[in-house]
Amino acid sequence: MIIVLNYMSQNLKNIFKKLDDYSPSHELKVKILQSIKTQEKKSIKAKIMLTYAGFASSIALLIFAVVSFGQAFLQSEFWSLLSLSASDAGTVMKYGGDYIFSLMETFPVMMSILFLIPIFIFFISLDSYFRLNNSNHYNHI
Amino acid sequence: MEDRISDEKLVQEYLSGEEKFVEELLDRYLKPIYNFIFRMTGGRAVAEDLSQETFLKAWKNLKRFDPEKKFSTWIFAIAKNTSFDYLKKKKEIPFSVFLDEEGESWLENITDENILPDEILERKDIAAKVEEMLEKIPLHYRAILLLHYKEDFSLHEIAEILGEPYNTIKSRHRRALIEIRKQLERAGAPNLN
Repeated sequence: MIIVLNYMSQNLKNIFKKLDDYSPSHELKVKILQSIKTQEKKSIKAKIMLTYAGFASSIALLIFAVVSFGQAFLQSEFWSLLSLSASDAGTVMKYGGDYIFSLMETFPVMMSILFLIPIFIFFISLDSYFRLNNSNHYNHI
Repeated sequence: MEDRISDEKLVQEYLSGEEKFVEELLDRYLKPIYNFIFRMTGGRAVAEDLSQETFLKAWKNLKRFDPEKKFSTWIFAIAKNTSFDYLKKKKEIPFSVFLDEEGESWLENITDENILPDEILERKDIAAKVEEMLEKIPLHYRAILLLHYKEDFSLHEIAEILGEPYNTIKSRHRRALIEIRKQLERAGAPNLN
């Protein structure tokens, strides 16, 4: 029975293979490639806009952080200790262990995060910019 | 011929920046996809538009393609969905499918090897008749027949393309063959009961 079914199936395949093949117009391939390129351009443009927005927002955030918290940072205990390493290096070297411990203790975590976030966004945008630049086949940048 | 790069490899190469490979994929699949859509929808202009839509959808989702699977199955699934969506919009779906009384009684009384006996398949005008009746049979049957006999997909692959369980496809395939026989008999072939 399997042989009979295979024979019938083969016969049907032969019949279907004999059906006329319709040919698409010559322009169809060009049209498809063009629409892919158009979509690709749109996608690259959107990514470029996002990258520029990243640059702008990171710089704005950094300025905001410096203006708002810069003064407080310079008046902090951490900064006083840190500047000691420049003014009194001998003492700092002598009590190195205690000095590092004090630095860690007074480290302004929240303030540092506020400064680091915009820097982080800036580097992500920079990376994205260079990657887009390298894969930019349509010279948008 | 053996040096031909696999479709899946072409996709990977394209995704890693080799743009020319998308054109190679287009060269391989444009005609089969166009023919499949043409026979599903029945219009040259529509087939061109839907083929374009199919390839654009495929390109947009290329990153989601699983290279462990067959590209041909994946792109035909997109073509089928695109065609069915178009027909749904045109309100040609739901299809008048297979659960008519006549069909059911046929299913019970006929053995597999007798569905399409040689007397039918060896007729000289059979290809023309098959082309003609393909337009008349329900779309789900048409899709299975075209994918299986014209595009050489297995029933398992067709199940994947149509998003249906294998057993459903197996039984629809059988019903599709019965439908062909009914159509051919209506068109004047000798009654083979």
